[in-house]
Amino acid sequence: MKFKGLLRWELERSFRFPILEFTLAILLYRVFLVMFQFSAGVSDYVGSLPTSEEVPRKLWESLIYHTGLAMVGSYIQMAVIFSTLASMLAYDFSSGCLRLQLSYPLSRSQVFAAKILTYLVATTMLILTAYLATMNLLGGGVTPPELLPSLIALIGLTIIEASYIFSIALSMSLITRNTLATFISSLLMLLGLDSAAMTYKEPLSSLIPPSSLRRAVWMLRRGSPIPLEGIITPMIVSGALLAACYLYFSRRLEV
Amino acid sequence: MAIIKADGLVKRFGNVVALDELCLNVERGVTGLIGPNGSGKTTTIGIILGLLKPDRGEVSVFGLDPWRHGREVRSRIGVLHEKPFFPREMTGRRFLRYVASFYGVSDPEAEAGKLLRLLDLEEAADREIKGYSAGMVQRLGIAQALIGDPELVILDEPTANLDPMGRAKVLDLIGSIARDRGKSFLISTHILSELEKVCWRVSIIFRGRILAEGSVSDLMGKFKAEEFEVRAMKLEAAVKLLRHLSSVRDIRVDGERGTVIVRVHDPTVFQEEALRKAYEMGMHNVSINPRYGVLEAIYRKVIPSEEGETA
Repeated sequence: MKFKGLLRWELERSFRFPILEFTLAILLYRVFLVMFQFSAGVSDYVGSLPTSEEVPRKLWESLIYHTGLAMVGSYIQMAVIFSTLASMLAYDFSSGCLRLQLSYPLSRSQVFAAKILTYLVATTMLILTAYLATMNLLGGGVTPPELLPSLIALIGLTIIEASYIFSIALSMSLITRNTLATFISSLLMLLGLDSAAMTYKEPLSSLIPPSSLRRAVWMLRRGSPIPLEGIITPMIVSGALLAACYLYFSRRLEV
Repeated sequence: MAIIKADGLVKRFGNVVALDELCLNVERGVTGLIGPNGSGKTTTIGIILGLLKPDRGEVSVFGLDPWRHGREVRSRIGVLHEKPFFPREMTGRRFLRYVASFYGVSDPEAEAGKLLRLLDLEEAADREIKGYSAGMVQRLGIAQALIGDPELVILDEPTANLDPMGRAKVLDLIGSIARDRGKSFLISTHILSELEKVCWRVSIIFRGRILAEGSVSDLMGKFKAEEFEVRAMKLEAAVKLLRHLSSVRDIRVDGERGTVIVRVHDPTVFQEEALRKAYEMGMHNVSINPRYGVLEAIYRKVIPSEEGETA
């Protein structure tokens, strides 16, 4: 009953946070990216292979899209997600919310679990809403028999990505306890991990725009562009970070 | 028997020593924890609740170590923090229902309703907390601290933001709960005149140490008032009278207020001597009162003067 009450409190509180506004911002940003400027680049992922005449133009578009704007685009989206998480997590410390919750007869494990679940739902929502909406706009060429497994795969990938992003933001917020510092250090840590772990680069680039249902389908098949270690690596990283955060939260954290 | 016992507590935040070998005994009843800003009151409360871990020393609350057995300890304590946070977007009633569920209250709705009535928040119960005035937020904080009928209620500045009527009501409430239901309170406040209306015992904390501790009457005997305020119809005659008393150390006339401030060697001798002389001289309208309230007088004696002046 205590945990259920705490979880409801957290969900109620968190979803009153401007998370819907942030979700809408990401959504609009992605729609803008896909619909008006970079549809050619995105079509590489959902349409048929380009003809030989189209190759030079496609290459040029891909070069611009992938080397420049995709990176910028990805990190803008990440920045919005991190800023949302940083605000929510750091607000817990600065507002006195955490101090209040830990003053009640609740175990630290319960408080930690309630926060993890809530923020994980929030992060997944931020990412998945944008993906699903833009994929719907694009069509994606996925036929009904493939639709359900594709969606399941996409949700799975999104949860992995959300756990990864959330665990980075959580660990940084526990260290810095400040919104701006959490935001900056989370982005830096993401960039650092991105460049440090080659195996990690694969799943990240497959999860950030342009993603598609087709991409999600591929991971279920042989010859998937996402290698197994590419899924396992971010899971291990986020698992390790969350375990470290839990140990710190339950045994060392002072508020 | 002490419900809180701390021995040799040390807590540092970087280079700042917040608690310096602090020894504290809180017994059943109403205890005031008083001291200037930054003296270690909030740190002490944090350690009692298991929110902070002492660097050294031992503390037990209901016989348990609050850092290791925080949940058990907190299930018997209600707390109002200084500058409390409450979820602004929730209604007062909903918030109290959640808190009641944390304390395992069988009927959270009824408990919330009872406390909302007790703290005069019934009309605002279904409004979002962000629409509450500062005084209403404070009363909500007191209500949530009383949920589940805890054995010990810790109140950090409970009368902050309350109007005079609100203050009186809260103090009456604390007094009656302690007296009639046998609950204990640990109250940290700067408003000593209010605290002395309800508290049975006092612990005076300064720079992370307890400088004095005991029942109010014990401390009154130990730290007697040294300054008195004398009022008389004929101020000049009163000054003349006071100058000849052997128990008087020095006197100062406060012309604006029409009083004489007297510092004395022995308060008991002074009061007897002054009243007898005034009667002999036919000065029947003389009033002699300690310059400060009971707690303030004790506080001023215990705390070094430069801090006492600002408290």
